[in-house]
Amino acid sequence: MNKLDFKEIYSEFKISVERISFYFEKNKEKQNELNQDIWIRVWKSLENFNNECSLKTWIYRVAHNTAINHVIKDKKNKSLMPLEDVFVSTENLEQNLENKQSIDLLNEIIFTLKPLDKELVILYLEGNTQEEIEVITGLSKSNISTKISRLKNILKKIMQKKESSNE
Amino acid sequence: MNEFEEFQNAWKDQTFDIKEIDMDKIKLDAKKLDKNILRRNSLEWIACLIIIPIFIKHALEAKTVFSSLMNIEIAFGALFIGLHLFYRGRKIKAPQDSLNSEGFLQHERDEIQKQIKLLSNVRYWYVAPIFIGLIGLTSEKIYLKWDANNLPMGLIAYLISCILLAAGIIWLNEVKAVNELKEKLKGLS
Repeated sequence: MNKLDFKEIYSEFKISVERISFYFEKNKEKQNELNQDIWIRVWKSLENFNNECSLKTWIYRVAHNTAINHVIKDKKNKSLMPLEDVFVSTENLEQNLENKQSIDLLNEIIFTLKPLDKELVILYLEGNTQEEIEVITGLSKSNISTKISRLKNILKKIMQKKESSNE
Repeated sequence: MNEFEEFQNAWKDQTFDIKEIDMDKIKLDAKKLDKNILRRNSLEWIACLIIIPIFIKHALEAKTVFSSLMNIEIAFGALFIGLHLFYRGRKIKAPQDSLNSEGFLQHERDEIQKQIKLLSNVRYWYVAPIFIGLIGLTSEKIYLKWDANNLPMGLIAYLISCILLAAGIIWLNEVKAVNELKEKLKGLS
C-alpha cells in the first residue's frame, strides 16, 4: 500500500471515520482530536498493510481500535453499558420522542454503549453484513446474531412509537 | 424501500461537525509521536546516568563504611530501576494494526493486567531500592549528630519527609493507580 494512496483512502472513508469519532466521543473538541488521531494511526500503519484482508476491513479495524483506545484512556467513560442492558420502555419513549427525532434517541442509546457493542451497532447500521462485522470485530457469529436481534427490537420500538406519535 | 431502510438511510445521511484533516499536519504529527516515545524512554536512562555517578562519588568520599554502603545501595538501586523499566518496556508489544476489535480489547486487557501487577509491587522494585539508602543515610546523620539537648530537627524532619514520601509513592501506585486500572479493566469486560 502506497502512502500516496492516503488521499484516496481519506476521501473514501472520511464519513465512516467521522461517524466513529462522533459516537466514541461526545465532546466536540475531543471528537476532532479523535478524528485526527485515527487518521494519524491510519497513516502510520499504511506500510504494514499487506492485503491480508480488504482495505475496508483494515481501515475499520484501525479506526475502531484507535477509538476504543481513546475510550480506555478517558477516565470519565465508566458508565457505558452492553447492548443487552439497553431498556427502551414505552413510557420513556413517549417522553423522549415528544421533543426529539427518533434518530437522536438512537444516537443517545449508541453513546451509552460499551465500545464493542457501539462498534457493532455502527457497522450494522452502515449496512455491513454479519460476515463483514465478524471479520472486523472478531465476535462470534452467534454473538453477533444475538446482538443484532436485540438491536432490531430496539429499533422496532423506536420506529413503532414514532409512527404512533405521528398519527 | 421499507421503513427500516428509510430509517437506516436517515441515520447514514447524518452529517457531523468535524473538521477536515490537514494531510501535512497528519504526517508531521505521526513523526512527532515517534519522537515523543523515544524521548520518554531516553529520559529514564538519563535520570539513571545522572544519579548513579553522583552517588558513586558520594560513596567514595563517604566518611563511614555505612554511608559508603548506603550511597552504593542508592546507585545500584537506580540502576536496578532503570533496568527493570527497560526490561519491562521491551516486553510491551504494541497491538498489530490488523487486529480485530475483540483481539485488540484482549490485548489491552492483558496490558492493563501487567500494569496492575507491576504497580502492585512498587514498594519492592521502585521505593525500596532508593529509599532504603536515603533513609539509611539520614538515620546515620541523625545518630552522629544526636544531642539530647539540641536535637537535629532539620534532619529529623527530612527523615520523616522521606518516610512520608515513600509511603505516598506506595499509596499513589499500589492503591490509587491500581484501583483506577481495575476500573478500566471492568469497563473493558
